[in-house]
Amino acid sequence: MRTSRKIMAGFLVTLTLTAALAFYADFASRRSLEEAIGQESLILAQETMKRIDLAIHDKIMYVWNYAEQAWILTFIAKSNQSFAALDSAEDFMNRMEREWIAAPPDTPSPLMGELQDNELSRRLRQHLINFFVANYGYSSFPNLFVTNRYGAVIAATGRTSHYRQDKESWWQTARQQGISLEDIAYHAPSDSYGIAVALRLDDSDGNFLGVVRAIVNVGPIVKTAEIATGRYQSARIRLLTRDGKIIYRTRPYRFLQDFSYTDLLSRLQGEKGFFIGNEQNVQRFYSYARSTGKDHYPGFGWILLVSTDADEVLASAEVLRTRITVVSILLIMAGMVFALVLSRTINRSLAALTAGAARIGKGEFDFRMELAGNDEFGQLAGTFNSMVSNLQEVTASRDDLNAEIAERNKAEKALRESENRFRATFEQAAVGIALVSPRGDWLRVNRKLCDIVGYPEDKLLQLTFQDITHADDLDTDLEFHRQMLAGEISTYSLEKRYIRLDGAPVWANLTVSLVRDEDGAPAYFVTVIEDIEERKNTEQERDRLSMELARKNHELEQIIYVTSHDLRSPLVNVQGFSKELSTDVKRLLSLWQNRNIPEEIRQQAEPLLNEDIPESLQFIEKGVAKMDSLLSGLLRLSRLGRASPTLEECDMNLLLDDIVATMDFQLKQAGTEIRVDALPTCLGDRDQLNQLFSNLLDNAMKYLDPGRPGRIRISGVQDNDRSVYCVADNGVGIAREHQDKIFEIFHRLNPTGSEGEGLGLAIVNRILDHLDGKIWVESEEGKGSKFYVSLPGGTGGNRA
Amino acid sequence: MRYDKNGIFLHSSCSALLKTLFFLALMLVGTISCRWLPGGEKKQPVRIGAILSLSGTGSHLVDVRDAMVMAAEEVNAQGGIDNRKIELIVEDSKSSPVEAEKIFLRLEEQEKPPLLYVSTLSSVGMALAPLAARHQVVLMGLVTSAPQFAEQGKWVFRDYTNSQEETRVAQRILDTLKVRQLGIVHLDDPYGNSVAKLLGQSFAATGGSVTAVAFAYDVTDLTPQIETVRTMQAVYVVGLVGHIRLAIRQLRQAGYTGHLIAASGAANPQITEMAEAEGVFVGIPLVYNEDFLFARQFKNNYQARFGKPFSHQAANGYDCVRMIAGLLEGNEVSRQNLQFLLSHGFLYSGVQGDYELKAGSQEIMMPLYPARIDHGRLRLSQ
Repeated sequence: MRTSRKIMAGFLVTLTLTAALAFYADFASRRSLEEAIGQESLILAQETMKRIDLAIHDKIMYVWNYAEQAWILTFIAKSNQSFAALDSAEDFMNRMEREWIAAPPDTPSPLMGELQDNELSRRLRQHLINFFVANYGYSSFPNLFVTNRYGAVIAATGRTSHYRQDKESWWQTARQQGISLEDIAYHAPSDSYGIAVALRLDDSDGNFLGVVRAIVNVGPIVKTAEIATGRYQSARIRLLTRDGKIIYRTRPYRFLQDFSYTDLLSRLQGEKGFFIGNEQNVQRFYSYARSTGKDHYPGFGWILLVSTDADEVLASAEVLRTRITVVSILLIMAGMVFALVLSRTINRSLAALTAGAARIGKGEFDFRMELAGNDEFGQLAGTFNSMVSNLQEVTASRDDLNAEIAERNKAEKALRESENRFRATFEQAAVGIALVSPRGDWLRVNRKLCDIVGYPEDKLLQLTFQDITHADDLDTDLEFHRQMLAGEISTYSLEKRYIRLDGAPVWANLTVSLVRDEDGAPAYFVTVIEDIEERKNTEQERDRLSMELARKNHELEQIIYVTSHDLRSPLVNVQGFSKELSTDVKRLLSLWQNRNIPEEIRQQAEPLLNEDIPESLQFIEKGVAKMDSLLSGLLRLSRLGRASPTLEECDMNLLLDDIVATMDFQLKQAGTEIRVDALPTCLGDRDQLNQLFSNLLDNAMKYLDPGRPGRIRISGVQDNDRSVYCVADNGVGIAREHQDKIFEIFHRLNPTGSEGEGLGLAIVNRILDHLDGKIWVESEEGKGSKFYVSLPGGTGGNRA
Repeated sequence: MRYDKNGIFLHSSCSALLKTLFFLALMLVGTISCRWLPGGEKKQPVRIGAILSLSGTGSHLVDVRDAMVMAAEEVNAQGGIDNRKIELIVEDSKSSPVEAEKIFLRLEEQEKPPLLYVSTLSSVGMALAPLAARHQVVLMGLVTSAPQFAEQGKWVFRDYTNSQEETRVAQRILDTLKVRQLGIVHLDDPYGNSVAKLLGQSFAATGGSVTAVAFAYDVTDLTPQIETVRTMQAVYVVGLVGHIRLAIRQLRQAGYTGHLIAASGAANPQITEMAEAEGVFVGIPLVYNEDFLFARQFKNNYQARFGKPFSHQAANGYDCVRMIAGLLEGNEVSRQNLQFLLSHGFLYSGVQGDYELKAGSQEIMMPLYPARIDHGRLRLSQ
């Protein structure tokens, strides 16, 4: 994994764990807070319930204490005395009871009105009702009345249901037990809700005087107690009876409304407790405490249920949670950004280090890390740069060493290869190679040399080159040897003869070079010895054959000349006699005409005389003429071989003008157009050149195409040191297969259709041999021919 | 693995592990955010159409609006009614029944008409009562004393004291003062006439003599009425606050030295702060009891919030909103159900004291207690 990833992963893990820890801390703290709030709420509920119990108890005791005032007791005692004075208290009470009950609801009976307005009633009303209303806004005693020991009402702040109460259970209980308490209920006579309390009143001697009964309204009491719970605006108070009837509730309620149907009641187990529940999808804290009463007040098992909105209770925690959340999110985001930046920073540094290391690894020792800062990366870069500097120095030394080694290896390799090549060349060379000391000792010789000179290697190495050099060639060789040692020449070649071991001489071509040492002193000679014995023999044979050929040619020319010359005499004779014979035939024929010669003989002889003999004579004359022409040609040819050309610079323009003038009649007769361009001069024999170009023009004339007007053009150019002339015609041309043969002697393109003996071009060729010239032809059959003649150039250029 | 031109690791090519961790971190953050950040289900608000007398003859009842706003804010701050916010739609009836009717009908034509209506002034309430019955929506009458108001059918409820309670506390004062001759100066409207009638009957039942004289709504001089009753042992004045102010002032100017007793409207600071009101007896709700901690808390908050003395009319509006909120809490929020809940009656301890709505009754009874104006303050009398 990349470092950047590790850093990012580390941060993410840390942040995730931090977030998880924060989540757990929130969860745990919320639980703790809920527990603490629950406990506090429970204490609140208990305290409130105790306060209610105490308040009710105090109200009871307040009534009791109030009622036990002496004047009240005296008032009751007087009533008892008056009742005692009656004949029948029972009858009186029954009568009053009937009257009491018979009174209409809105109109008290006279007795009732009297009782409600007596001193005790007024004081009770004033001190226990109006006083509290005036001072507290409410009174806890919506109704009070007092009975004497007979159970008859003797004072009342409001209506009572009956006049005589002695039959009532509460009265009996109060009389017997001193106090009677009834659970909360609606009391119709006073149109009030409350606890009915009945208290026994005794005189100072403990004698039963009567009972005071009060309705204790718990609403204001709970309301007052509720204020103490007002620390939370969402606090709700429910005071329930043991069986789940609503006694009091913060929000609108119906008195003694049944609350037992709710799920909440089932959770109110035990004396106290707290829990978190949902009511109409709102989470609320619930704490409850059961009334335990106080002293005479039993509490009736009432349940005080205090509920508060969890959101409000936990508002501070929610604020804290929100802050933690926001801070956590910001921290996580900041952490991520920081991790990203850090990872990028570290990664950039690492990347720079990596890239730098890679570049250095590739040999860029001039590269230096450029990481600013004094952190570890900066220090590492500095250390790295120092290391690279040292490495650069070491590498430079190493490179030098390696280069030197490589150079040496290369040199050694080259040397080995050179040696190998030399050895191979030396050993397998087709020529003899030897290393020879300045004194002439054979230092090293190859097999070919041994073969040439016929010595075994070991024996040859014991000799000097002087030992086996032919005596006639030794001086020359030694002179060259001296010149080389003296530095006058650097190399020399010499054809000389060695004396083989078997004593036979052998021709060799010697090429010698001198190798000097570092000081310039001669180290050894490298001598390449080529066996030229065969060549020498061939040359000697060639020379012999050339001489023989020249002699033969000379003899042949002599023969031709002689033959031609000697044959001309008989030929002249033949020509002469044939002419004589012709004359004779003509004479004989004339004679024949005048004589009577038998017809038979005439008929046999006349064809002979008129046709056959003249025809034969004509053939003889033609043959003689041809023979003469041939002999003339041969004579010219032979003279060319015998005569030495006189070389001079020839003005070819003049030469050609003369030739054209000579041939003017023939040209005009044939209707041939001839054009001579400006021609360069050449070096040659004027007569022979005349013969040469005359032959070429004559040849062109002979082979003109009779189907079109003949045109002949003579041109020439200077080509370096040569002058090249061209004789071009638009004649019949020469077939490709004949182009190589036309310069042969007696060769004729059309032996029957043209004149000549086939000597013209042969003579041309022979002239050019003498003049160091060349001739070649370019021809296309049916279009014409171009004869090119190359001759040594003269000093003059083309004629203007 | 990819790097940028600077050799920086490109995070788009994070490994699967890195991506997973990143994703988990985001999920965790999201989970925590969802869990911790405030939010929750949003429900439709409980809209209360408050057609109040903010101007005109009932302009002094502007306190009702202020207290209702304060109560609504408190309830909303506590999470509303089961997460439903209370939305007060306050409209000025200009103390005009005609204007109030127009407002009512306009609000009813809205896409989301109010759950219930609250009005002030008897005349306005009486005008709106038939409309409430027709549209089957609860109408709460605050500071609405007209006896007939509670007789407008099951959709109309009075949330205030009534003429019976005024009579009861007045009779109690008269009893205490042992008055035998009583002059009654009353507004000639249903409310004033009702109180005058009931008190006259009650007082007469105790054997006393009664002389009642009425005045018009727009009266500016009560001299004739005062001349009629100035010889009486006690004079009881019932009317609007302005009427009571005028009566007290003119009685004092006329040199009347007998007991002055006024209806509960005289508990308003506009009267208690009058020098001529010194010694006037008045039936007051419990909110004026300075020893009543709950009420004192409200008073302090109100005065701190609005910078003016509170009035029991304001407390009436405050209790009304709190009472409705408490009544609807945990119950279905609908017009029908609200009427159903009201029809079953309840007890409610408000800043005005213990309200009681008996089952089947249309009177949410605000109890009154006898008091006396003493140096600008109301003191409950024994």
